[in-house]
Order: sequence, then structure tokens, then C-alpha cells
Amino acid sequence: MWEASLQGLLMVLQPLPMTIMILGIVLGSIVAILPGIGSSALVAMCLPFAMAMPPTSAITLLVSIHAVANTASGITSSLTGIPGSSASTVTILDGFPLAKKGQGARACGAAVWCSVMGGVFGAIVLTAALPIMRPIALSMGSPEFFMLTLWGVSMVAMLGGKAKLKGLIAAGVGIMIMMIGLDEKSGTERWVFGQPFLWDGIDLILVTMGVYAMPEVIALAMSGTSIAEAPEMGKGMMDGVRDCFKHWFLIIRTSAVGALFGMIPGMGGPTVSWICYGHAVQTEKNGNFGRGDIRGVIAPEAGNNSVDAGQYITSLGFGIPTSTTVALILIAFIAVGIQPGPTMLTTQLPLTFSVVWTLTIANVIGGVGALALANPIAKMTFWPARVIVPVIGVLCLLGAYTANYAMTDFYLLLIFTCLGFFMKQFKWPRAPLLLGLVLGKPMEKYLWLSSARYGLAWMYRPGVIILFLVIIATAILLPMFQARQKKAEKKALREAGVKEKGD
Amino acid sequence: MRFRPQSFLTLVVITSLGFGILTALGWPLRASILVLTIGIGCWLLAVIQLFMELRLKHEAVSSGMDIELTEEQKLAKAPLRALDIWLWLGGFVVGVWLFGLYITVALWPFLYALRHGSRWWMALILAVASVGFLWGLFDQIVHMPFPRAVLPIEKWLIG
Repeated sequence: MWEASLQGLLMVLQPLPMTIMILGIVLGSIVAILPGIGSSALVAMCLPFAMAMPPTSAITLLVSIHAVANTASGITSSLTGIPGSSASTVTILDGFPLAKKGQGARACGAAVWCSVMGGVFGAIVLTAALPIMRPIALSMGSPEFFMLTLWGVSMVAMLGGKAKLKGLIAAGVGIMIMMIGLDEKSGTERWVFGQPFLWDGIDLILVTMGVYAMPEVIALAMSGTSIAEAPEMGKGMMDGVRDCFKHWFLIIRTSAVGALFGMIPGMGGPTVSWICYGHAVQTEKNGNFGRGDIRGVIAPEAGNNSVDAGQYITSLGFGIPTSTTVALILIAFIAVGIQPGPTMLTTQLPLTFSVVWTLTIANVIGGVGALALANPIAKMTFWPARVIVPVIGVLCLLGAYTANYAMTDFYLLLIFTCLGFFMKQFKWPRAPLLLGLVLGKPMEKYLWLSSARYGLAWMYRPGVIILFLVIIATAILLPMFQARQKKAEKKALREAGVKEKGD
Repeated sequence: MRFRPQSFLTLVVITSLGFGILTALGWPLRASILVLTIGIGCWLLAVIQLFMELRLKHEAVSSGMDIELTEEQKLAKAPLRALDIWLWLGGFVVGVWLFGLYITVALWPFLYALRHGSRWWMALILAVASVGFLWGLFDQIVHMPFPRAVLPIEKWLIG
């Protein structure tokens, strides 16, 4: 195995693959920073070129684009409130408030560096998983996958904050919005009102832009100030990097969650980011989540980058694509003569390791490059509203247009902006709505597959029971324990004669 | 009981969910299983939420985990400013429909910046940068199809 690993490294370090990898990193980083354009679009554009390349060069080009797709996107999310990629939507929750406090550079530094750490950790997990990936993947079926989506939804309890009821309703509304369109199982038109553009459902980026980004543009225009409310840049980028080392255990945990969930088809970066964020809210003490806590940036960014490695475990080992981007990459692999499947673990092991090494090297180079750019970009948070509103406004509107390239994208954007605006005004939590959106489709798919395949017997599978207990423990017992602990702390403080802030 | 503005959104949610559930009753089970499971539960929760809002003596202050509201929104001018930006956003969409994407993407940031106190050269920079972004990325690289405008000004200008 070590010999194959070394062979894989040497294959990547050749001049041509390395040059192509750097090209892929630059292109991937640009796309990551720009909102609305996902890595799948860039991979699709590069397919014709990759298919004409030698196998190792094709791997380095496409895998490096995929590897850095979520590395630099945290910069856009933190500084503008617009998600650079759908997987970085969660980063807005704490990254944007940090930027408002004048700590945009710190948020960017943390977002980029924990992405690097998450990506590298994911590659290590991929290496470790190579010999054992088969039994792990085979032990899980649609019932277990359904329970994992339920686990994700249980995070609503955390994301709803004090308004738990509103949070639950918002999550339900998110799931219902995701149901709009043609049902793949029965061909039923669900709330399409005779409009063909609704057949494919509503694009996640449209709802994200409408519910999150556009209300922030409106808020900026209403306030007439810059994004950053503090007069100075505050803590710099390197503080963000130091924050990553300070919270190394959180990064390890969320990266492990990312790599694990990445193995499941359909559970891509957006889902994993929410789960990692929920995990941080659940487990981290003295949190100020949602109001500018650096751990709220670290957890989702580390998780959404380690997802890539998890996706390759399933895709390379079984030839099952776990996301659109990976499906496109597999098409290119097949075109250049690489056959994903069990042979990737035997005769083609050096090629598999070249994927692992590309993931590692691209993450480090992409991260260092993004860090160099983060500080100058962070200065835009001090631009006055009259300049920043048209810039972000045009980016949002054009980003939304990339959903279907139709006028209807603008109409839908305005509808969801309206929803997001009123949710913001009337203090409805918007995070659960997006969580519902992300989890709605896989939840429905796995529930139907489980019922159709096993009837009610899917509920008695050992994996389902274990996951059910995990959900009970993390969504019900842990918050109860934490609330009790908080109450005891308050009581102790009262007895000690200390008046708490806000009491 | 007192109806507050915030209950308006709750009422919209209840009505939309109710409509969604009623429509889903006519679908085959495989298409409606999750819709009905989630929808009915959610509708009941929304009704409870409405009752809680109506029965509250004081305005509820608790909110979920979210980006904090900008303080300035609570100023007296806020509704006017909100109306202003909404009109600008609506204007963008009408502009794309009437004049096409290129002209609107050039005019919108230019006019917005100028109207809100920017110098003309700054407004011009914003307009040129926006059109450059649209042309470079969306036209030249992505080859994005642009919507056809009602008025043929763009065709006349660009050819």
C-alpha cells in the first residue's frame, strides 16, 4: 500500500499534472468566490479538455477544481452574506455577523484555513478507509440513510434558538418548498400550477439568495451604512488561522462527520455543513452562535471540505456517484480509461492514491492562495452602502439567474426575498428553513425506498435502532441536560450574589 | 387577544400549508407520503404559533439563531428606505424584461449609486465593472443564454 501511495504521489508531482493542477486550483478558487456558479458547472466546462488528457492530468485538473470548490467560498459568505457555494450557506450565520463587527478578515482566515485542515483530514480518512470501505458501505441501506437525514432535521431544535416552534415550522416549510416539481417516483406534478419551469423544482441557490442574501442587501440599503459596523478591521486574518488551531478538536470532529456523510449518495456539502454546525452548537460551551462565534465558521467549513474525500470513497470504490460534480468527474475518468469500481483498490491503486494526493496538495495550495487574497477582499466590508448595495445586488441577481437562465428566476427570487424579508422582520429563524430545503429531497427518497423495500420492518434494523438512539440522545437528552446545567449555573451565580447580564 | 403585524406571516404560512395539504390529498401515496406527514404536523404547529401570538400580552422578543437586525432599521425613515430598495429591485426585473440584461446591468448600479450620493465617476466604475463581469464570465466563459428584451434597444446598440 505504501508503495502504491508513493507511486501515486510521484504521478501527481510530474511537471504536466502539477501545472494542470495549479490551473484547476486557480479556476476552482475563482468559481468558489463568485456566488451562483458551482463547481459542477466548471467541471462540466472542463470535461472536453480533461477527456483529451492523459489519465493523471485529467485527475489533477478535475479533482483539484472539486477540492478547492468549498475552500474560498467561505470568504464570500462571510464578507457579503451571499453564499459562495451552497455548502457555504451556513457560514453566513456567524461569518457575516463577524464581518459586521469588523472581524471580516478573521472570519475569512478561519474559513479558509479550517477548510484546508478539513480537506487534508478528509484525505487521511480516505486513505485509512481504502481497505475497509467495502464492509462500511455495504452495512448501510436506505433505512440507515433515512435515519441520518432525520438526524440532520433534529438539528432544527438547535438552530431554532429560543424560537423553537417557529424553527420547526420553518423547517417544515423548507421541506414542502423542496417538494415542488415533478415527483420522480410517480410523475405527479406537485404544485407546479401548469408552469413547466417548476417541473425541475426550485433551485436551492434561488431560495438561499432570496431568503438570506437579498434581505441583507435590503437591510444594508435601509441602514445606509457599510457591512462592518466597527470602524476598524479588528483582528486580522492570522487570528482566524490561530482560531483553527485553538479549536482543532472541533475541526477533527466535524471533518470526520463530513467524510462519513460524504460517503452517502445525495448527502453533499450543504447537508453536511448544517449537520456540522448543529453539532458545534450542541457540543461547544459558552457559544454565541448566530451572532458572530468563530466556531460557527470553523465547524461547517471544515465539514464541507472533508465531504469531498468521503464522496470519493463511494465513487471510486463502487463506481456510485455521490453528487453531480463527482458524477461528471467519473464520466471523465471512464473516458480516459479509468474504470471506477473494485479495480481501483487492486490493480489501479496508484491512481486512487493520485486522487488522494491531489485532494491534499490542492487543498493546501488553494488555501494558502485564498489566505493571500482574504485581507484585501475583507476591506470591501468597509465600503459605504451606496457602493456595496449595487455591487452585491447585481451579484445576487445575476447569481440567481444562473439557476435556470430564465426570467422566471428573477420572479422566484423576488418571491423568496419577500419571504426572507418578512421572516427577518418578524424574527423567524431562517436557518431551519434552509435545513429543510437541503434535507427534503434525500429524506423523501430514502423514506420511500425503505418503505417500498422493507415495509415497516425497516424500523427494526439494528442500524436504524442505533441511529434512533443517537437522535434521541443528541436532539432531546443533550439539550435537556444542557438546559438543566445552565439552570444550575444560574442558581449558583444567584446564590453567590452575581447578577447576570440581561437578568 | 390582539392581532399583531407578525401574525400576518403566520397566517400566510397556515393558509399556504393548508392549501398544500388539500392539494396533496388527491395525489398517489408515493407522491404525498412525506408531504402529508410533514405538512399536517407543520400546519398544526403553525396554528398553535398563531394562538400563542394572539394571546401574548407583550410583543414576543425571542428569535431564533439568525443574523442580527441592523439597528438603523428601527429608525423612522426605515419604511421609506425599505420601499425605496424594493422599488429598485422591482425596477431591475422590469428593466431586464424591457431592455435586456446588458442595459439593465449597466444602468441599475449606475443610477442607484448616483441617486444615493456617489460621485458620477464611482457610479460609472460600478456600471463598467458590472457589465465587464456579465460579459466576461456569463457571456464569454459560461455562454449563458440571456433573456430576450421586449424593446429591441440592446439589439440596436450591440447588433
